[in-house]
Amino acid sequence: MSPAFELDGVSKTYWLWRRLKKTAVPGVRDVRLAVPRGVIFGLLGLNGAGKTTAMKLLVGIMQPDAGAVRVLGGDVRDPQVRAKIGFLPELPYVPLQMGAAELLRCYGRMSGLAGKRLESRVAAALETAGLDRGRTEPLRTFSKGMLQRVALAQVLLHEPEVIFADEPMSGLDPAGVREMRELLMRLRDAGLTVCINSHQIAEVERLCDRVGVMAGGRLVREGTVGELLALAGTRRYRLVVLAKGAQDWEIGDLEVGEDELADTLQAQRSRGARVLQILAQQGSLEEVLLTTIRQAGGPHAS
Amino acid sequence: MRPDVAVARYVLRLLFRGRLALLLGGAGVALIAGSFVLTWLTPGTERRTFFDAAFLGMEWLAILSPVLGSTILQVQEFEQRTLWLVLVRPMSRASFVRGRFLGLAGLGCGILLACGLVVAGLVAVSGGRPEPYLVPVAVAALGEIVILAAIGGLVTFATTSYLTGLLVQLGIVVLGYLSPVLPYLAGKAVVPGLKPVVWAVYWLVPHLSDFAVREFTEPPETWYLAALAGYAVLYAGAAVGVSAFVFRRRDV
Repeated sequence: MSPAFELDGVSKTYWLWRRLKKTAVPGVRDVRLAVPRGVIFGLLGLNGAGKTTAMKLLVGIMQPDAGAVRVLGGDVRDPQVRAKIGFLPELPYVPLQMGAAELLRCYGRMSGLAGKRLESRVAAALETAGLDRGRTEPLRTFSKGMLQRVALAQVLLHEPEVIFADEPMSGLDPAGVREMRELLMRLRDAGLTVCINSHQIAEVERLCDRVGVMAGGRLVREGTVGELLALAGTRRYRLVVLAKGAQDWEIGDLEVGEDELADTLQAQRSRGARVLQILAQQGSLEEVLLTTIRQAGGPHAS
Repeated sequence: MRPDVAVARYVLRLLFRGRLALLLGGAGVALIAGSFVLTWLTPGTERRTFFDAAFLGMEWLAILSPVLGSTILQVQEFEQRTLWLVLVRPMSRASFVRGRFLGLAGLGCGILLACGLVVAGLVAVSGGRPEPYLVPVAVAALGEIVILAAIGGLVTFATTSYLTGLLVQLGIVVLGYLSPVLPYLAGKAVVPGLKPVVWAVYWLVPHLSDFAVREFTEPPETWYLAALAGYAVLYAGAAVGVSAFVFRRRDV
């Protein structure tokens, strides 16, 4: 069975004109990724890492300079493939002069729905997103959280098999975050594949089965959450050190990586300090992200 | 439903809900009512005054509706990014381009139809005889709407800001009305290389001055109107085709 979605050597460069000079800004570079069906995949990275570019390439609103983007084994430019995709952008980019149900009907018609099927899908999508079917006022009167629900309803409208969500928790209150998390898990349990792109590492850790880390436009690490956490757990140590201070003995602590451990112990001993305890740190996805970015020479390398 | 028809309905809804359609329709009715009032100020030539003013209003609405419509769409689709949730739908970009053209042309045609009905109604109520210019003016205005809706699409897909798009469209309209003098200007060109540029502009811009049938001394014959309609369809078809090509690989 083909992967749910795949980036095969994909590169994308943005060209900007500054003072009559064309400047290349790399978006993503030679990204290779294949995500199996039926999982929640999280794309992590700092700002400008290329996550949103990758997502725009995956839903077909941006086209790669090199490589191929495949969803469910087909080219994402093929309308039949896009019929199986749902996209939730970071901000609810919906025309604010229209009503929720009216807008969903328009999107539904463009997705090939009509008649009673269209009406029943609009009603179901509004209900799943927690919106009142009777509300007809324009979207400009909705709060940000409500607009995010409208954007979510349009994702579910045509019953996609793969959902791409860019920062799906952004703008939601704590109850909304919880509802969104439960909904995404329900969709995964129903056999859908979900790809989320997020800064909220704790949320990704809690929600995702697999995670990819992007830095400088490249995919620098990919695996299950367990694999990445194991990687972090063996790499960091906390040393409790007793050392002679200016007046008296003082206790301090140091945090070092696995590769620095031997040298640090030697250095402490040679300055007369005593290492009282060596604690293996409980790894977190945040550490993996920052360590991986440091190793990849990203902006937080120091 | 075909995706291009679905897009056309979506575009029409956007423009209606954004009140552009109501604004232009209201302006059209106000212009015609104003033309009627104007007749009280010109005793003896009431009929000529009324039709001159009403037809001028219809012609301007034919120009304004696709130009303003495509500019508003450009703001919403590209600058407010509402296009993202449209382009992820299962349709080709060519279908989207065709649907957008149909929606813009539909808006102009609807407004023109409303204006035409108001004019015809006013003539009937005032007991006047049928106006021989009404049908030719309506056909010419329809042709202009079709051409400018296609140009509106092309310009908004090829430019990156609504202001640039609006200025380019207005420039094309002005050049379109000046098209008869372009060959004369090309003949006068002294700067090397300017003559082919002027000729290229002459062949590329729509010859909108040919559509100003209200200025003709006699109402145009049927063959002329058929030629205008044919020209409009061919020109719009070519512009929509180029738009689809331009938009095929554009990132949004």
